[in-house]
Amino acid sequence: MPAPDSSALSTATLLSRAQDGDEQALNDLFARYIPILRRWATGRLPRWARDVVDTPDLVQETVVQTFKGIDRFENRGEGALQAYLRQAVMNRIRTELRKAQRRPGRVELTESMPDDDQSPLEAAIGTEAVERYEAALARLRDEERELVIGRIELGLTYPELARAVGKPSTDAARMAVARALVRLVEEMDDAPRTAD
Amino acid sequence: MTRPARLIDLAAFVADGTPVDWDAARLGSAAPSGAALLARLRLVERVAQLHASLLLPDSAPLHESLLHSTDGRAAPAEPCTWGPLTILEKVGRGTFGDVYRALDPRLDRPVALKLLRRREPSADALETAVIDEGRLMARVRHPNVVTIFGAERIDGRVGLWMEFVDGPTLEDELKTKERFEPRGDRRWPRPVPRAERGTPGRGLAGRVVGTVVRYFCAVTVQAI
Repeated sequence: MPAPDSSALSTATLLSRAQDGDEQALNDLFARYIPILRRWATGRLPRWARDVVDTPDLVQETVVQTFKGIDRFENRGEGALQAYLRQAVMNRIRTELRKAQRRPGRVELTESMPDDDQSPLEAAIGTEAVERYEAALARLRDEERELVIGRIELGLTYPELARAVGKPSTDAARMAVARALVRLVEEMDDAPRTAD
Repeated sequence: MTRPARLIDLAAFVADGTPVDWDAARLGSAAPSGAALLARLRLVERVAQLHASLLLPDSAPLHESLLHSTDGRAAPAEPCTWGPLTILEKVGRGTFGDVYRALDPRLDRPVALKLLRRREPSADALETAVIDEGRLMARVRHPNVVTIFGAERIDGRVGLWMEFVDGPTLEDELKTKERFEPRGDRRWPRPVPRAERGTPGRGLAGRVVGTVVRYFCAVTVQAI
């Protein structure tokens, strides 16, 4: 009898099975998260870093490395896993950026290429704004953070989000995201005033 | 209680991806902190918009446009040779280069050739770093690591050539949901011991293991 298709299972179920040694579940987790995180990472890497850091490989390595410790991962659900993986990739990006900047031969930025040092997100809203956003995100409660990351950064639908964080309905997930965003902006510092 | 209720409505719009009339929203916020909260929420909206642009279902063209300049120049013709190598076919396109199956007549064997795309003169230092790293990686010999044969700049193009391993890309694997079959009976690639002979150090070994493990060899070769 052919093995049942596990790709439609919830991440929590896949995670649980993977922790029990089910390799198909682990493969399905890879398939579910690597593409999402690869796209996410392209928004967080400066252009110059993409020249020396291979984004697909970086994400792949990080996810593989993270799942290698899957036995020790506290299974608090899909949302927690998404936030955890996103943070793992973020940490890896920061590490790679530091390494790349230390390498000899690093190109000095010039006036003619001011955007090379910025990620697409930084280019869109500014480095300082990204830092304020990240700082506020870090101050949220776990579920709030998972909701913001899931909806705002990873683009999950409300049904997916409801499943990820254990909300009873899509409406409940939508309201929870809205409340989390209110908390986020309340936690966020204001932009520093520029001197006149 | 007017401001919080309005804020949460706007937050829901931002979460939905519904356009917000921020000018009107400001008019409705009389409290001094209202404008600040709205400014922050607007920032969150821009974060969401940026990520949404990356998450479009057909994101490949966008991905490419983010990675490479789109100045309207026609794509250069595919090369037929690079140095001593005869290029046979293109097998992959990656973040900063293209990967080809090529023939090395000196070794009398097919090799995978990764050619960096032509860049501005200001990228010389980066290309040098890639060559240096390629040469360093060429010192690694391990059954679980793809063998790097060399790294050079020839006729202005930087290339790395390595052992060719025929196999699907990770992209293909993910699309077809096929299993990542480990070699042998191990669940994960065998790690390279720190003191493995021939490996120059833990840092390099770790990086190589992370990027060119044979387990994902085809992925690396075809998706660099």
